[in-house]
Amino acid sequence: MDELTFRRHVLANPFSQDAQVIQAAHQDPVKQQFWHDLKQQELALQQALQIDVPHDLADKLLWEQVSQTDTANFSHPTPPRRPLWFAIAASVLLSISIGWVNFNSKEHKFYDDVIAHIEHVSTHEITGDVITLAALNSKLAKFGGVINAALGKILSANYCVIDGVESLHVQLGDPDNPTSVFILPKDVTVTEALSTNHIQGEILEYQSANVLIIGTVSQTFSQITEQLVEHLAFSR
Amino acid sequence: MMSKQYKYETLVRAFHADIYRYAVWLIRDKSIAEDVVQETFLRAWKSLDSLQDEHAAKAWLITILRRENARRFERKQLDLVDIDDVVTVDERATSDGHADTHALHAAIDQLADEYKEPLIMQVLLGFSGEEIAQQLQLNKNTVMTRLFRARSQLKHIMSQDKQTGGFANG
Repeated sequence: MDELTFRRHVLANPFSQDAQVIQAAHQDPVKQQFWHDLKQQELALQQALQIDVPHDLADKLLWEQVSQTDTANFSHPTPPRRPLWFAIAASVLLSISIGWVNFNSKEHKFYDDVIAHIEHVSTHEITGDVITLAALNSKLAKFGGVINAALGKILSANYCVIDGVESLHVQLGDPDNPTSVFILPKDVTVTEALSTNHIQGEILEYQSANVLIIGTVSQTFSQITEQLVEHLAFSR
Repeated sequence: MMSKQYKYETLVRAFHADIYRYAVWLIRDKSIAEDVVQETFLRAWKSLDSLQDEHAAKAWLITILRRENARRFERKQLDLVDIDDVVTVDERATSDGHADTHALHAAIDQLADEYKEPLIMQVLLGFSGEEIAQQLQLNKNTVMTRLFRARSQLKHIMSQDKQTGGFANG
C-alpha cells in the first residue's frame, strides 16, 4: 500500500481494522509512527469534543415539553390544597395515630403506616449520597411526574409500599428534620383534615396522583410545599 | 399517553448530551445551541409516533436538529453570529483546562464547516461513513475524503501550534 493511500485511509478512520492497512503499518516504521500519532490525536479529539452539558438540561427539555407543547396532558395541583394538621409532637411520631380525629378506618390505617414508615425507615434511607434532580425525575416518571427546577437538597428518593400501596417516598431539606413527600396513585384517598400542632401535613391533589407532604419544621415545610406546587406536574 | 411520555423521557435522557454537544459545535454559541436543542426535542415530541426504529433515534434527532438550525436562518428571527465572535475556546474548555484541549478546540474552530461537521458526527456521535453520508446528503466517498482532509488539517494546525508554542484561539 503506497503512502498516500495509507494516509487517506487512516485519516478517514484512525481506528481502522483493515488488514491491508495494519500490514502496511507493520512493514513501514514511518507509516506506523504516523498512525500512532494520529491515534493519539484522535483520542485527544474525542476528549476535546466532550464539552460540558448544563446539568439541568434534561429537566429543562422535559419541562419545555410539559409547559409549552402539551400542557393539556399535564395537571398541576387542583386548588384548594388540603392542609393536614397533626396533633402530636414530632418526638413521639408513633403515638400520632392516637391524636387523629375524623378519620375513617381505611384512611386511619394508611396514615398509621405513613407515620410508621417515616419513623422506622426514613433515617436509613438518608445515606448521604447526592440525589440529583435527574435521578428523582427518573423515579417520578413512573407516576407520570416531572419536576422542572431544583428543590434544594434531595436526601432520598425510594419506592416503598405503604398499606399495600406502591408509592415514591422523597425526603427533602435538613437531614436532621427532613420533610417527607409521598407520591401516591390517584386511587389512594387521603382527604381528611386533622387537628393541629407540631407536625404539618398537606395534600396536593393532581388529576393523576396525590402528593402527601409531611414535615416538622414549619418554614422548611412551607418552602418545600410552595416549590412543589410551582414546579411539580403530572401527566394525566 | 404514559407510554409516549415515558418514551420521550427516555429519549431526552439518553441523547440530550450528545445532541447538545453537537449543536454547540455546529452553531458555535451555547445559548443559541440550547434554544435549538429545545426546539429539536419539542419537534421530536410532536412527531414521536413516527420514530419506529429506536436504534435510529440519535440519527433521527440529528436530522431534526439540522432542520431546526436551518429554519433558524430561514426565519431570521435570531441574530446571526459573527464567526469571529463565537464561543471562545476558554468558554468551551473542559474543567481540567488542559492546554492541548484548548489548542484542539481552536483547531476544530478553524476547520471549514464542510470538514468539521462530518468529523464531529464521526467522533462525537459515532456515526459511520454511510450514516454521515445520509445525514449530509453526500456520497460516502465524499464523506471519507472530507474526514481525511479534516484530520489532515487538524494535524497541520496542531503541528504549527506546537512549533509556535502558542494556543491560538482561532
